[in-house]
Amino acid sequence: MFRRNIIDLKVVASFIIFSLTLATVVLLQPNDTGISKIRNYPATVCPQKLSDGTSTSVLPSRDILVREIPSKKNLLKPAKSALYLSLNPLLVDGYNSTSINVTRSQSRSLATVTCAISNSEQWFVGGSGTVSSRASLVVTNSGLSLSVVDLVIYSANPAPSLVTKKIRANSSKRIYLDTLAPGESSIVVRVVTKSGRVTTFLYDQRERGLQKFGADFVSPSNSPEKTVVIPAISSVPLVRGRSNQMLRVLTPGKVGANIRAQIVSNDGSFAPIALDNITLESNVVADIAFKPILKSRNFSLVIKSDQPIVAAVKSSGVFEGVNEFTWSTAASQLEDLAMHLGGLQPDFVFTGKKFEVRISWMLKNRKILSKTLIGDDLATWRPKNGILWVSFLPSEPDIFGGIIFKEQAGLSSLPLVAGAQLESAAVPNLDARVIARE
Amino acid sequence: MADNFFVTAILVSHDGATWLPEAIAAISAQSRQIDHIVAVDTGSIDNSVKMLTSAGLTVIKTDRDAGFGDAIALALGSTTRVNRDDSEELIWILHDDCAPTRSALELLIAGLVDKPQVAFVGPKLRGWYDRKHLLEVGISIAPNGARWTGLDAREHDQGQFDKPTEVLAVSTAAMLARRKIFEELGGLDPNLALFRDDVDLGWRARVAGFSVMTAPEALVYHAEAAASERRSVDVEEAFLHRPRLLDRKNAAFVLLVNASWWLLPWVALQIIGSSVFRAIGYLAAKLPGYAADEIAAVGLLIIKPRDLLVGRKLRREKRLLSPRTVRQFIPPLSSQVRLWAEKVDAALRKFFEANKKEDERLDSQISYSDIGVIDESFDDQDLLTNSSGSSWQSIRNRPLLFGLGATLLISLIASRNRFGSLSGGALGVSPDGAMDLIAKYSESWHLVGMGSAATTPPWVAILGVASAITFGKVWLFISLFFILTPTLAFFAMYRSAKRAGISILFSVIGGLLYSMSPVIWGSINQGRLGTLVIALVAPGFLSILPRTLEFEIISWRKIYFITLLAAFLAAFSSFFLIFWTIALLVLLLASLIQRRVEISEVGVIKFGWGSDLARIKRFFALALVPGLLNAPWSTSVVLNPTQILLEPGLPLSGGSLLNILTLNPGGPTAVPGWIFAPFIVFLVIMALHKRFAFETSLVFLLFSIALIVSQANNFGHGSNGKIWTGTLMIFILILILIPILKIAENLISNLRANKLGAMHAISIFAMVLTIFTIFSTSIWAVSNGANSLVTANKKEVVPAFIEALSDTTVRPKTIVISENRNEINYYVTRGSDLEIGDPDVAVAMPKAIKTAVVELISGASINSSQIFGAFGIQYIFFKNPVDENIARTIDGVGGFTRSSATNSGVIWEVVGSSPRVTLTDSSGKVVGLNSSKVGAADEITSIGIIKLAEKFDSGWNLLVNGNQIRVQESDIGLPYFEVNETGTMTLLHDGTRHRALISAQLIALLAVIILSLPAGRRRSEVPLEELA
Repeated sequence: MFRRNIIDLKVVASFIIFSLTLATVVLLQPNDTGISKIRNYPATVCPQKLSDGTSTSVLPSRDILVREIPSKKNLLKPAKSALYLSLNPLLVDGYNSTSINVTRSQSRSLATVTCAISNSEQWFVGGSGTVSSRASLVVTNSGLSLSVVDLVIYSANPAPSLVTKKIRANSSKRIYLDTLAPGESSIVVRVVTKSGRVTTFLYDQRERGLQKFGADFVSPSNSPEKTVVIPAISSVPLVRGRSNQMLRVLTPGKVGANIRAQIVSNDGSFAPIALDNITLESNVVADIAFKPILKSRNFSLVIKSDQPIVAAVKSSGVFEGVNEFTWSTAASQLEDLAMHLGGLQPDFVFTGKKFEVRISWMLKNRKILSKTLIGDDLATWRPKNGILWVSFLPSEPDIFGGIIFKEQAGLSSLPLVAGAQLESAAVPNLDARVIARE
Repeated sequence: MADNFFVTAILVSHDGATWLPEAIAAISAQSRQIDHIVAVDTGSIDNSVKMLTSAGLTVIKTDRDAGFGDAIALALGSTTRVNRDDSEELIWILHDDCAPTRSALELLIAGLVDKPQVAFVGPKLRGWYDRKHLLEVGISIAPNGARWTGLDAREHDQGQFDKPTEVLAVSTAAMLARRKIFEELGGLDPNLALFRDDVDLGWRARVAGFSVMTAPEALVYHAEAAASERRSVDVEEAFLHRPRLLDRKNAAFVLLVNASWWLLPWVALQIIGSSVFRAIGYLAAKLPGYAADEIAAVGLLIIKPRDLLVGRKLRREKRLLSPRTVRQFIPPLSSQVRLWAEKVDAALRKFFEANKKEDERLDSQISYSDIGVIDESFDDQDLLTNSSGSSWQSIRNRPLLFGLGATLLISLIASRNRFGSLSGGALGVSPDGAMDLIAKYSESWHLVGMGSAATTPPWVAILGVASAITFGKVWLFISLFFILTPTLAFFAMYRSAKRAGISILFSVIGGLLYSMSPVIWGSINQGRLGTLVIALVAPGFLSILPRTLEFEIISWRKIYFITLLAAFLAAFSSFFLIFWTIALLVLLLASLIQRRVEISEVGVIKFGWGSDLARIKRFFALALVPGLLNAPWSTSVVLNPTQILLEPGLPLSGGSLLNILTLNPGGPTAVPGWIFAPFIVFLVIMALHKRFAFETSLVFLLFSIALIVSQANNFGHGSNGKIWTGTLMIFILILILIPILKIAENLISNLRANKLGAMHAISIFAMVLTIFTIFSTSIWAVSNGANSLVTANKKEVVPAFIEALSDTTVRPKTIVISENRNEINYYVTRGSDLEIGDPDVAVAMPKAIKTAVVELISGASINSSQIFGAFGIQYIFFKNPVDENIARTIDGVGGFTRSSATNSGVIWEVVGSSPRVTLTDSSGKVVGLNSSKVGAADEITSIGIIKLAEKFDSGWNLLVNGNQIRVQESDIGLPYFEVNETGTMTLLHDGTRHRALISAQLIALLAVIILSLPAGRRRSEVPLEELA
């Protein structure tokens, strides 16, 4: 058995082939699981015209597919214009950059909101049900089936009220807050989508008789959290120094909360007296006025609580000679984001600890520029000219951003949050095994 | 003359010169003298007449086409009946091919003495050539027309029938009859010119109140020349001179004219049924003439019903007793079945013996037992002789029994979770019945996913046919199959090893190693039906393969037998099919290249059409017939090469590279890697033996292929996964085991002879490893191994209400979604869980569905519900555990209404889902039409567009008032038809081509089966030595 030359040449040759095969397989061992990945953006909805002025949806391109709601045919068609004027809510095909809606009223108030698709739960911290309020919730069902939405109204009354609304397929419903919470000046609305493809906007509009007090969209906030960052609050000195800042905050749980808010600005970070160590009752909406004395145009507010809270800041006063207010709402951590601005020139405010944000933008002449914004605590960037779109690439996870629009038409702010998050990295696979008994 | 009888002997001759000398001599030498002899010759063309005349007999000559009854009547007509009070005339009917013994007549007469009720008495008939062979001691007829003697095949006379008995009839060969009764009964029926006239006469005598008896001590030798086709049958009634045709026709005639009216339908049914059955048998035995005789016999009777009616009328006039009188003489069904079983058994034995003989001619391996010098198990005498001792010794002395018992016991314990309807792993749910599997195979449109026109692999039909064993219960067959697989695998390897000349003990060890191998237990636990079938058939298949490339010396029958087995294996493994075909073609090419000088010398054409034609034809038959037998499925495999590596059932990933290197295909619930099977060690040992160089090289080649494919992913059969290499490993194991057993067997004597050394150490190591593997696999199998993917009676996946809806005319579909380890999977169901055979025809979903599902899950959907609705998908079912985020996404997408959330999962209803078949009229109104599972039929009252919620296929056909409408494909991949008239519509999937291909496949299969079976012989071809 062990004599020399006992192995046949055929065996030697086949063994060499085997060894080479083995070596090749080991070296090139594929790790492909056979599962492909896909990234997708859901379609978003822009609000309809809600004022006596104009409603412009700033879209990614003129070729993007849109559909007005309601429409006879459920077909998407090219928008034909990147600045889409529409009386109706507009369904915008999924895209990797965010569209916004800019609503300007004849009374020179400015309202902006991100065109979005709702999550199953949204918090609107803003609005009022008093006689001077024309605030309304606009619930749009862009889907093809009946939608059911629960509206939970929080106010100064510790017992929240629940209203369930049914929205027909491919339609929109405007619900005034004074019908939901008559006489309540401080309102927080929690919108829970039970079924259907629903997008909700809160448009806060104040007027008394012929006197207008301004208008703005209240951007939706995330679910309650113990740390809330409102990144972009305007401190533009309004006429005669009549700037008012009011923090609205709610602890939507069974237990009240102790909160402490800190202003972060280029002038430094501090806790104003009015916002230092506040005790809140649960389920009661509290409005806390404060007047920070700041040189900088913008600041951020970081609120820390021992219980999950939702919060927003209303900045109001006389702007460019007219009454105006804006709701600055909480933002989630800044992620890669591209947004279409249609030639606007807003302030971008970022807050965080020692951060960098890579910013790229396109001018109206289609020229693309970029820069890296470096900041610690707060950094503000304002483009020199109007820009068509802008994208942000944050270096750190704990960076929050917001936009403040200041133009003759009024004042408005937005959190820097994508209207539609990149959805479901895992692509569903066709697999007959799901109907096999295992 | 001691008795009071006058005996007139009537000898009928017809070309009987071969037997007449002995017959005349025997008649002349009777101890009881014959009073009068008359010879009748029916136109003999040999020197029969001369012989009869020379013997001093009076010869009456008649026409050549005269029947036997005519001849007797002629003889009786020529003599005057003896009419004396003291004497009764007897007639002794003699054939020219029968030779009575000296005392035959005397003993026959003794049988009639003092028995006035006895009309006829018959002798014991023995063979002319084999004089011990018992032919008849009285006869009857079976209800299917078979001539019934009650004797075993080739039964020898040992005096076992030497007691006179009452019988239905006796043969006319040497029958002694009372002339008076004979004539009263009308003699032999002229309709029965030859064959069965004796049974008919006896039947008539019985119902007329007479008896028929045997006188077995009277012995007559009978050549049965006409029945054994030793002379031509020239009677007028013999169509085309075919004796079998005449025999079958007369048999049917006897039954139909004598049976009761109320029994006639049953008798007719049996005659027709048995004729068809026998015809098939004769076709299988390649005797088409006999098959035609069977069918023509029935046909000839049917076209001449008048003869039957006249015959029945005549018999009714002579009948005194009820026809029930003869019932006791008609053999019961059980006797016929027993006889049939014995014949099948004998045929099979003969067949396998024939195979064995052929193998022996081909294989050089010849042992002493082969040439009959010693008993077959001589080599194992030392193991078999010690009959006394303990029960352990008893077991040791019966290793085969031990192996069978051990594997069965282990399997039974390991299968404790597999008693019942099995599913899981690669195995789908068993359908309700075997016919469902046959239907899956024969149908052109499969209700899997969004529908499929893919060709079903033949193993589905084979499984359906095999389930006949369990009376059509597929689940029971599968359950038994999985339980018995280890035992059957053991036996398959044992038999294969024995055929290779390995002793019983080593064959048993081989069987145990094989049955306890990781590949077999892994396949059982993962529901790999295909691999298991291959595991059972491959050892036998490889053992019958020729060991030479000189195929011209192999009989065509063996070639077809090999192709049949190869086709069977190919039906369960497309990889085998491709490998087999390519390997043979490469071998042919290689052999031609080797002989290129010779080819160039004689020229290609001359070479091809010369002596090598036989070899080339056989090469091509072996290479191509398995593929042809598996067509049309094999064609689809070739056209879709990714299918080649797919196994039957759902794709299920195999194991890691390390698993493969230890010849363990791995995968979920497979044999763990620490049970290191000894096959790699065996392979190394084998590589050191030049004798097995070919096998070793082949193993390395297959091993290399296994390594390559095991690491690849493949999508098919409705899912994806790493390629399973189990089938390859089966062949590798067999190729290793047989040589290693031979090496081990030879090694023992060497070890005894040599001093202790490295060889001993390696041998001990291999032995320890072998024992460890067998024991550890057994212990694992009965412990952890029992918790396999395949278990019995699993919970249904699809909710009951969705299943119930599937039978409505709307025929809704449901998308089932599940999440497993961050993978989201989905499939479309028609209301039932995945059944056996379903994955094998599953094809890709239309792109629109894929996109809609992706958008649904990602929340990016705008019109998913519209797409689903158009495809007739009415529900979305998310199996538990439900990912709440995805559920919320679906809630938020729109177009889906959550209808329930139960323990099994969450269900959404798709808003605006269409029925399976819809008509959209010109105003846009949509009306649902009645739909069956595949087709649809309804009245349409308006023109418009008929849409079918199935995947588009050009085979869809719509007929409106009989007019065909062309199918078109919508932009999302739905078939639709533009209808311009109202009326009756029929929607169907045209399976004409598919059915034609399957018919061709069946015909080809039947032809190959027939060609692989041993050919039958016409009776005229049976050599005299084999005749009775």
